[in-house]
Amino acid sequence: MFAKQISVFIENKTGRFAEILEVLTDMGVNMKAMSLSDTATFGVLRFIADEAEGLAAELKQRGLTASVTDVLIVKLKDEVGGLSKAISMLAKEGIGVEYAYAFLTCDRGYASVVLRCSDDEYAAKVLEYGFSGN
Amino acid sequence: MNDLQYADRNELSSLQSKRLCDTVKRIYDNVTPYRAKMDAAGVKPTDIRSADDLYKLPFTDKTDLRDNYPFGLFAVPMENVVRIHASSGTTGSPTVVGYTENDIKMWSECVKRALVAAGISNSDRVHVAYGYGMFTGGLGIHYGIERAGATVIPSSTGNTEKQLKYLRDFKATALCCTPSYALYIADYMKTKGIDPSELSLKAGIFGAEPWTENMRKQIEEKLHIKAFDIYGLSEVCGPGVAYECGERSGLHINEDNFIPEIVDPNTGKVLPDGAQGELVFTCITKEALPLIRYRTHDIASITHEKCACGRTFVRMSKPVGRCDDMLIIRGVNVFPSQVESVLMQFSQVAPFYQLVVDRKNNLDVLDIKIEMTDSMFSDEVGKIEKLRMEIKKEIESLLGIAANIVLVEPHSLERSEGKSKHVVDNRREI
Repeated sequence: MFAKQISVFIENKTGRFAEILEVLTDMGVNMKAMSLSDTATFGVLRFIADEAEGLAAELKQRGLTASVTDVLIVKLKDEVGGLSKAISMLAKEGIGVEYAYAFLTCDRGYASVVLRCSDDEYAAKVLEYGFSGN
Repeated sequence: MNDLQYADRNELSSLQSKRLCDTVKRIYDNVTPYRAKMDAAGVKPTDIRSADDLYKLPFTDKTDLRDNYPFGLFAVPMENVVRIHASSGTTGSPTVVGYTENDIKMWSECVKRALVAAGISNSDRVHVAYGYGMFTGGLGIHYGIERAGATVIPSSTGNTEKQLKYLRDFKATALCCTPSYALYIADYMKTKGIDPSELSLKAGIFGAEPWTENMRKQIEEKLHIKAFDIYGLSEVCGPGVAYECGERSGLHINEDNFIPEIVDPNTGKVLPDGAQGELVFTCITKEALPLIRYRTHDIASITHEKCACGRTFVRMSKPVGRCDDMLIIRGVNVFPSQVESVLMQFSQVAPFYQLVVDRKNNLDVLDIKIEMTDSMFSDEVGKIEKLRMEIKKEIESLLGIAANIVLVEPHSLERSEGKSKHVVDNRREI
């Protein structure tokens, strides 16, 4: 299924991540999934939370740089090889994965993976078909 | 012919007056933009009867060169111009200067005087580690060395390992480069375990950037040489406008070619001996690009007091600073507005930036902080990186030196009246 993900620019400065998390706490944001990535010169915080568009607007007002991106959230069986099967299906169809991060919910027996692919629409179809065709 | 460096002051004044009058007439007849300036000020060539009338003439500055880019201020036809040099302009346009054959001879003679004052003769081998090319430093010193009859080793910049090889193998007795590069070489040698006694250097003539007495001591101790200062700017000729003699108490100005003044940078009023103000030069022998009352934006003082060396040429102090926002980084002139002009080429980027200059391992390091904007930001990190690298490439190409581009949070750079504070210079006097 599709979800809205928020990305926030983080300057490469010690304490910046902590500051941004404080802002999110202050805003009452409960992150469902989160990933912090880095390049040599700056970082990007990505997270899933409710009411993404409103959140992004408020973050901008608070002086942060934020954007909203559509991503896929795929539910997989919480077992060995679960992720591997899904990604292989995408690879067979020539779909590349830009980034991914996983999280557990209280849905026992399942894990969720946030995926951003070279073609999210097609990826969604492939996975849907691939899983239901089991 | 008597060496003018030791001329009687009255004779020198007469010579200056004659040369000034000839130059003013020639400029009035051949350089339309300056003629227009004189007309606007109501000054005619006949109003200038001696060097004492210099104050009547309008100033010239970088804006005039930029407005008449590239050759609009030349006083001779291009057929007579045998050399072009260029240096940083305040924005995208470089400052272009030109020379006739006689200009090159005069310039080389000025540099030769500097070398001779530092003890150089035809038995010396002089290693030049200034950049060769459009920059007047390399070729300027080079031609001066040849005129002095010494052996020039045109090493240019970069590849310190190779520079050291040449210094040892060719047994250079003198070194010409920026003072910070001299210190860099000294520290490099230390890390490689090379003792200064392995080199044959006796003297160094350093310029293109400001340097303190403290730095001089360090260079002399670390390289076992005597270090001399040389001053210049390409608009006047290049290196060789002024030079230290053995007394090393101020730099003698080549006044037979360039008349100096110290003026109040705000009012333009001429200041007396000993007062600190903006250095202004008038070229009285140049043919291709004679500039009248050119504002250098360097702050210094001059003195007519006798020098123990016997030279009667007036002395200027080492420049103590600038009255504009120009920086000198690794010997290269850098203006914050140049950075701004590049950022403006990228529609996603806002003009909130800051140049941060540090000194690391005796070399100047430039970081350019740029505030992130919504339009620059993308969830795809690769896209941001690509933009950052494009900006870096454009800036380095324009400035001529390497710069680290650092992306910072929006609104994080110091503001005054809505504009960010553009320069933070962390280099402390050492």
